[in-house]
Amino acid sequence: MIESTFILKRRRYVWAAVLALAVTVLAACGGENGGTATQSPSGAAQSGTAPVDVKFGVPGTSFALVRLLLANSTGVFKDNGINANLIQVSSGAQAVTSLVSGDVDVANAGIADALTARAKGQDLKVIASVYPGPAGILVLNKSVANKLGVKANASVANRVKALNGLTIATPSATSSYTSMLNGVAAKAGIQVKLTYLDQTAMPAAVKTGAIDGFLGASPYPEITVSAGSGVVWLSGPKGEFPADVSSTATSATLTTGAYAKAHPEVIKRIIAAYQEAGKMVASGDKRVTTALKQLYPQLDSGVLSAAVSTNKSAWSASPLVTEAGVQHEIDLLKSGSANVSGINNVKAKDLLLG
Amino acid sequence: MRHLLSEHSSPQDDAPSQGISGSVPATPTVARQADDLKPAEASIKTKLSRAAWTSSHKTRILQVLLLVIVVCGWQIVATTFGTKFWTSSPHDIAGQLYDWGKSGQLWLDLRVTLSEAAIGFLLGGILGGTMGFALGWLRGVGDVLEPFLVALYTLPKIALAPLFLLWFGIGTLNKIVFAAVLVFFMVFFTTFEGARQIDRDLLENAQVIGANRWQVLTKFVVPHAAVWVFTGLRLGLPYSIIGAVVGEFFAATSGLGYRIKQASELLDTPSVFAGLFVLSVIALGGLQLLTLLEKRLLRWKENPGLAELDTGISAT
Repeated sequence: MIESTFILKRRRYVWAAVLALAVTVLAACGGENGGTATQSPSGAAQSGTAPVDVKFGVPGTSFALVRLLLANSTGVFKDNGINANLIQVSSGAQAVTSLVSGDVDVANAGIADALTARAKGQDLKVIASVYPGPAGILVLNKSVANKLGVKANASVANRVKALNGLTIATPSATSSYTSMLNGVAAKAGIQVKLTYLDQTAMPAAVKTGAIDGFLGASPYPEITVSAGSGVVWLSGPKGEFPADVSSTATSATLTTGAYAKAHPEVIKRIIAAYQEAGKMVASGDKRVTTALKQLYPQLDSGVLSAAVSTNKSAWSASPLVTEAGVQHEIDLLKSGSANVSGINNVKAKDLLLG
Repeated sequence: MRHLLSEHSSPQDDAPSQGISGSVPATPTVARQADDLKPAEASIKTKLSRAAWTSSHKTRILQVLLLVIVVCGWQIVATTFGTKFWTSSPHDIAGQLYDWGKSGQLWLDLRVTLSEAAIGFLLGGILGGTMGFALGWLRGVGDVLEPFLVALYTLPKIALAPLFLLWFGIGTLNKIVFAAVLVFFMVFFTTFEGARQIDRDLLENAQVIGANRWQVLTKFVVPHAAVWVFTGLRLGLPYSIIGAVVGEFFAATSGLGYRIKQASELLDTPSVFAGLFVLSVIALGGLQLLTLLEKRLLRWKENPGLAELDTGISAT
């Protein structure tokens, strides 16, 4: 009698455990599928109206990403039917890794990052440029700069030569800043020691003298200069880097070939959102100023205005990427010291959407 | 055992009648029996060591076999199922190691990482062993400081890496300190526990039979603590390498960690695995060296005990 009661109780516990496990698994699967509020992307593509959940891998919040950040914070993405989920990663290389591993739908990185993945056989496509041209500003530690014997307003050639032997930080081995710096160094016949740091850590690293300088996008150069620990040495937005070593696009939005094929409507919406954000900047829309103040509270109004006027043309330029632009990036990679194996087999048109 | 027997010998008593605890008369018969048993003892020892050698030999063969199976399996899977982008392959990894070796890159990076790990290991080991012993021995002080040290130990060290970058720059000092911190806690806590577990009665007995403080310290306390220090060092050695490599991940201009990070950003899987392979070999090599050093310094641990000297003389 006692034994049968025990067996009955045990059966109940087992069934309760099975039920709990089933509920947990269903809840987890439901969470991964984005809940019940929106349709699946293929459903949205067919209806053309329902918003679509899109995961963006985003490497920080620098000025190179303003177009994307504006599109998100001012509601432009939503107006174009995209529920953007911005997932922060530490560099463009990590964003591409997340894309390749399927953790995000689209990634923001340099075209060089996409080419590196392409060279390894990954089918990546460039959707649009977020920042055409070079966004990077080379900042040197003030005391290091003073010892170089060259003034900050000397000719670009002399300023580049003075970088010989210095330790400069860039975000990653494949970032467009690295390609640019390598290109400049190779042209001038100098050697620069590269180290890779998260852009957010660069101002502090320069301040403490851990590095001699860094190449990164605003607002980090402005933060360093405002703190009195750095000087701007070369400015990409001001065209001080030679054109033949400057990036076509410091930041671009990338996706996989499979995603682009399955969700052509999402691709169109992203491009449309970027074009709309560009028009907002060009027209001096007040929402832009409000959004920028919220995104960069550490910058005072004067510094922010100056940075905006420097970068405005890039933010409002066409986001479309051309075959010539991608070919330029391939040439930069080939001439640089990154030594990307397989790059010779990559064709520019392979990265473009059909 | 034999000297006990000879001291207690008595010509009248011809037969062994008592065990080790009692007074055992070492009669010529007993002495003859002890001598007769020498070859038997040697034979047993030979058989035991031969068995041990065979067993160890078998283990080695099985280890090599397992390694070959894993490597071959990996190559087959990578080639057949096209997983090279994700997993690389032993062939590609070997090729990458060869390229690195030929270009000299491997030796340059190895020198940087090894020196960071070695200095960090020594620093952390010496500090951890000394402080662990001191705080374990001085119970009052140890009781006061232990909770703070445990709190420090539980801090996620990876969160300290950016701070170390600010404090010590991106040079080798940063990595040495990081490695030393990781090793310190491993050695500290094992030594701390070891010092606390020294049998105080044994020490008192030693003093009772005339040992002075220095003798107690050098003959009992330090040897006992040394066992625990080596345990901590064995645990800490891999962490010294981890510390150097993680430090290089955060900021460096050379070293194996720097090379691995660069390779991962370039999606260069063979280089990532090649770097990991080199790190594993370093860790294994280091542990082997440590084991040899331990065997040499703690030889007394392997002295045969009384039971092994038992010549089989019956107590009855």
